[in-house]
Amino acid sequence: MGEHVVLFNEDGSRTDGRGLDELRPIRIKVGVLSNAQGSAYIEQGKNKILAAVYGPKEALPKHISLPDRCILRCRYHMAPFSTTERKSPAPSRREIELSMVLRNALEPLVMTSLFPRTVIDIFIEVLQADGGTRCAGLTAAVLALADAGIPLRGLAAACAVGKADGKVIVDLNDLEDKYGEADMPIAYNPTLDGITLLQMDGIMSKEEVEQALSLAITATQKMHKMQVDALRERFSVQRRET
Amino acid sequence: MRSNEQQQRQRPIVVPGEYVGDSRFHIPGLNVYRLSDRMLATTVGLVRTDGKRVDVVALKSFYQPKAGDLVVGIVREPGTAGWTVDINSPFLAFLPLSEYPEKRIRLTRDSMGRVLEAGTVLTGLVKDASIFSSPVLTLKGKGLGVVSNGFLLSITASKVPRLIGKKGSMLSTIEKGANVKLTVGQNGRLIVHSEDLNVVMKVREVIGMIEKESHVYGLTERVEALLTGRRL
Repeated sequence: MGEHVVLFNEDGSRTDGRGLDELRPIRIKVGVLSNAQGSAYIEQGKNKILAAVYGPKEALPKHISLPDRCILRCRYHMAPFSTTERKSPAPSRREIELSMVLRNALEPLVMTSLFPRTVIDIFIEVLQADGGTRCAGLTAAVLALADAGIPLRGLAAACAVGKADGKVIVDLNDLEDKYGEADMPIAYNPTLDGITLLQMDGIMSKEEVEQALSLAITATQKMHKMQVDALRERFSVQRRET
Repeated sequence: MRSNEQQQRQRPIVVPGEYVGDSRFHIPGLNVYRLSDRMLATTVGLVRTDGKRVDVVALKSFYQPKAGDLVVGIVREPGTAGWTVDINSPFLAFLPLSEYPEKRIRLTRDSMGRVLEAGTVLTGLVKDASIFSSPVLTLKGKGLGVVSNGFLLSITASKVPRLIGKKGSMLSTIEKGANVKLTVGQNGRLIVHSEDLNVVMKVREVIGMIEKESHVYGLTERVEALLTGRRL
């Protein structure tokens, strides 16, 4: 018999004190790596994730290039020290899958037809993981692309929604992700009013999915505002008092 | 108090996906795309309009070569009929042997490498550029060729117009203030023709200021003040 993990406090709040639709504290900084063309760092709860963008650059070997557009290459990787138990540095099946999922989510945002025969490399490195790393990683990767000056159709933010103990919740942490009933990562672009990443793991009714989608859009709109502020801060002049 | 005033006098920055105009009344220009009636920015930048056309001047962008651009390149590799040159753009440029000013070069890989070896800095003109093929350079022209002394600095390519200024005003201010000759490439690389490290450091400081504050009013005065040591 498995032990029952408590996901809610007696007062109805979640184990970390949040309400059902509350995001974890988020801190974003753009332009943190001088070697990369574009970069961003995000902390979301205990998640700490770096994103770096290199390119566009000539696609080598030449046979991988496309004649009419740019290729995106995405690498999602969790550092060996990012989890409580050491994780092997070799790419796991999960990381390979998430690399593909994130690339597919970012591709509609990038105006790839503007620079054919080139490649853009996107690296998402998880330094500390606590659930929802693909969402936080995508949020940072979009900012890194914007920081690199790569033309985008808009900014997208991502957040996981799900179900725990029968209640629909927003921004699942690791405990809720592991022991909850459903987890649904979503990336939303407010400009195009479109979803660019949607996955589902678990069981939710049709009404619960509709409720979760609505909560996710509200949450990602809040995150989008933080992205805009972070980009403006990056390019604004900081003056010291003389 | 002064920092708040100056903060307010920065031009507003737009981000990708931000609304910059109505396509029923304006024409989308640089770094702007149309989505039904809305015109949206594609990069982080500043909105510029002449009333009809709306552009977004990118605060950070990579260099996209155009025919006629003066560029500062670094030779990457000698080939059999020319050299591949890094011009700080997504594509490596090609300098064909026919565009090298001197004649009578034997066509072997060794001789090509001796004429222009990897790492050589040169100033060239983009003869031909299209997104479907590598840009072609030429060294035939006044002031073009191998750079044998000086220091190489770089600035974001989209800031080069600001570095040069209207009719070369900013560039002339820097050259007079620092008493140095500069060669500025459209690809964001520039040569400081001086052996004096203090001069080079001064120019680097000025470039850093232009890089960070290109969208803030009063930049030319601040550059002058920095060069002359005058307090504003």
